[in-house]
Amino acid sequence: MSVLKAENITKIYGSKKGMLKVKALDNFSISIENGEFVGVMGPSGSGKTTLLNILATIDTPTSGELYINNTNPMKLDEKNTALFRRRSLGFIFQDYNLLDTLSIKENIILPLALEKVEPKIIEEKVNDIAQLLNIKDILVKRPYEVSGGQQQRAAIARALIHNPSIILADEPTGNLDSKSSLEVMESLKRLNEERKATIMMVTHDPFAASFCHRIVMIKDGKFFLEIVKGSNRQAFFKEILDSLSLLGGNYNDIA
Amino acid sequence: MILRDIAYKNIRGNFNRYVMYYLSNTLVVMVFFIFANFIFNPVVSKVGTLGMKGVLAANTMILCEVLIMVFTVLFTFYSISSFLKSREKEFGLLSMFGLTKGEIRRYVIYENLIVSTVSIFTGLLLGILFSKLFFMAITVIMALDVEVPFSISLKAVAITVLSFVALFQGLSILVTLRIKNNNIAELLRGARVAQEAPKFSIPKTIIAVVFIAIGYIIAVISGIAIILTMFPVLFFTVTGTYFLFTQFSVFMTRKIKNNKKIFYKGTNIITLSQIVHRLKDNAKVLFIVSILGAVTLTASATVYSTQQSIKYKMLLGNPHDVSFMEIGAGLNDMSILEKTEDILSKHGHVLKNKNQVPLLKATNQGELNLSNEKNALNPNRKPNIKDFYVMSNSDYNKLAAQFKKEKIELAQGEVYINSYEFVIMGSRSEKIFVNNKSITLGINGDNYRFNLVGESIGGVIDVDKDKTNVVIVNDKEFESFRAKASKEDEIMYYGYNIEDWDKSTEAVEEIASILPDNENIRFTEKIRTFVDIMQTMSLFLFIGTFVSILFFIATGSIIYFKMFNEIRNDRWEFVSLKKIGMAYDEIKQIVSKQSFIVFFMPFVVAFTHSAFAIIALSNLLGDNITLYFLTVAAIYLLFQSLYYIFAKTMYIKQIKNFEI
Repeated sequence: MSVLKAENITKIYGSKKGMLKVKALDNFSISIENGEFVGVMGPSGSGKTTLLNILATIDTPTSGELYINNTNPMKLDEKNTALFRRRSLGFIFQDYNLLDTLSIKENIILPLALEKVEPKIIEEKVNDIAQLLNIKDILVKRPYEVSGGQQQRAAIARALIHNPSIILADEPTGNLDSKSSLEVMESLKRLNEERKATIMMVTHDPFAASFCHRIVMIKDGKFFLEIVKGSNRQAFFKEILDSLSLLGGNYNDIA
Repeated sequence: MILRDIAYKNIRGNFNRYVMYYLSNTLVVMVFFIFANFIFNPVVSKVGTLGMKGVLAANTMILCEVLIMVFTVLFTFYSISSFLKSREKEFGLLSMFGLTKGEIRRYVIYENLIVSTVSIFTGLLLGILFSKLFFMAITVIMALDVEVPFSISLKAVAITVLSFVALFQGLSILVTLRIKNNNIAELLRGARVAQEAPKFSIPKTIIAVVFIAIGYIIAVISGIAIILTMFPVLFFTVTGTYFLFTQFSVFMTRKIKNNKKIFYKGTNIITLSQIVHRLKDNAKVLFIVSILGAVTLTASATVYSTQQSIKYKMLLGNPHDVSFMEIGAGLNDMSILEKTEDILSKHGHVLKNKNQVPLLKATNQGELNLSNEKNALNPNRKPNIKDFYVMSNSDYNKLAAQFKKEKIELAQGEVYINSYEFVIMGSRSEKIFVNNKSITLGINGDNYRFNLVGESIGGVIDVDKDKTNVVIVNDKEFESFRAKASKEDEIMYYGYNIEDWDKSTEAVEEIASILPDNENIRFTEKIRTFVDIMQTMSLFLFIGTFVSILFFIATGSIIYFKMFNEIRNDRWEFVSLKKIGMAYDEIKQIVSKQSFIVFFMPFVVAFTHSAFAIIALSNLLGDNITLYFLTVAAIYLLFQSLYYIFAKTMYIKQIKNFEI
């Protein structure tokens, strides 16, 4: 069963008269099955962020259809879109977006508190997820008191705590060193494997991408190519690097 | 593009943040100029033209000018320094481009120069525009004979411009000296680093509560001794208030946060957490705003209630505007009454009431148990306990209805007394006979014993120079006394109420000049006794209101300014919240609650402080001035609410503009 289905999404910026029109997305389609871990890669300006924003319902496509869990969020009003985002989607950002005024624990429980879930259930859930992501010791700390990797794992906990239909991750390792990146990616992998979480991740980082089941590459707003992981992550990593050199753009240097 | 251009563009781009700062400065300059223009007006300084009133007004205004200046220093200093703090990131960026510290300072000084020049200019312009109106108002309020001519004193302009340029620029240079860009990397991270968990200390929290309580208790129990205990009271309350904002508020919010049922519910989790930070960050500002608010509120309530209580007491002692007492009713030539009515109508004073009341003389013949033989504040004053005028019950009720007092019904042998022992300002008015159940009065040479059923301070006829009491008796008894009384002992009282009594000085002086040379005809009027005191109080009220409004707007502006400085730090937070699915309405709710607390917490504190100050003042004045205080507080609250709505709307408008 597909959790997310985007069909022929086109996004044109500069729709006003006389402005230079830029096609950020051009008839792009993607479908993500339940329990999948999908990566989206592409050079700068390829439309990755636009795609993510549209899937995250914080931007609207010029044309095309989007279904998340069989709901078309584009048909909802502002308030219901926000509620939909809150209930059905989980977000992980490059810069974590944890609130400084809240402790790590309070940040994690935010989605549940907004839904006015019983404090007892909130406590249970937060303990459970903190255990899974190995952040139990830092729950009482504040975001600026812990490392980037720990912050990102807290953000992952926040994205998952309300059991969303899909987690959308935007460059989750973009700000992290290699050790923290590994921790974060393994956390995501564990979520995917143990909790059957559906994850879509946009990334530049071939290492991070190698944790996915499947990579969709995008170029100039169009579908470019798709690669599927075999049994071995090392081999998949190599395959990703090869494909990136085909992709061109700023990946030429890497290859 | 040079530095000046960037500064200019910055102001245009940051209009929302600058607008209240600019408006407050403009207002301050305007009021300062108007007062200065009055002080330097050639007519005012000449005692010969305006008399002492003009000098009094000018001196009051000089005092206000000093107050305004002190306040402006405080306000400007806070505004500029908090503004700079919120822009550290920008300064970091400028440093990265290679601007030196000196250049950054110059850049900030340019900015301030532009804003202050514009506000001084507009303030002056508005001041010139409204000077005429202000002069007219002063003329009316002080009932000056000569209108203060409109003129623009160059001296006033020069003083205003010079002092404000010096003040604004001096402060901005002083504040910019604090810009330190040693660590660019730290500056670039900006205010985000500073968000540490607010801490509080239990002892200081306890001090906050205990000190305020001590201050309040001393204020209430001191009574007249408040004149001496005032300073410890101030010390305890001000220190307590400081800790209230820096410690107790954090403690309280923590307590609420520990209650998971409340804290984990919807947007509370964010609202409460942010309020803790906001309170802690703004504790000093909120403290200053509260204290200023309390001072403003207490001062305006004091002036207003003093004025109102004088008015009230005046009516107690002199219900009629003009009155005559004829000793020996019908034995004298009373043509003066007709002349009086002619003079009054000639001066345009329409008669509102015309009363005629027969009275009899009586003297106290028994021993009295006096409630208070000596007046606490005035040991030399002794109440008149000997002389009485007897009045009939029905005459009293007729006048009582006219003056909106309570009617009384007396049976045979019962009396009710109106005593006149009070002073216009200060000290408690006290009933004299209230401890007695009965009183023995000598009327027409015979002694009668009456049951005393009540006493009220002030009456329905004007007090005479001996403060003779009025005793009201049953109609039948009055008639029998009157029948026995000789014509010489019978008194006729004539009282008039007129339109515009407060402008009746000329008419009254004309009447006084033609009074017959007859000691059996006694003339009493209200205007000449009270005109000066009323006008002085009105002047204080007028100038006081002016300065209060100024303080009020400026304190509000400090809060507003603080709010808009934080908007940038809050911005990304709201963007994050929006991304994880916070609806716009919920964000609006959070903002409303937060700004509500920031705006109204100082008001609540200011209100409570002033309430206790007013209780202390009531004890001192011996009047219950709660109602007047509440009136002033209600007006204050109304303006505060309007300001809150305005600030909140502007803030939400800003947030709405944030693109994800």
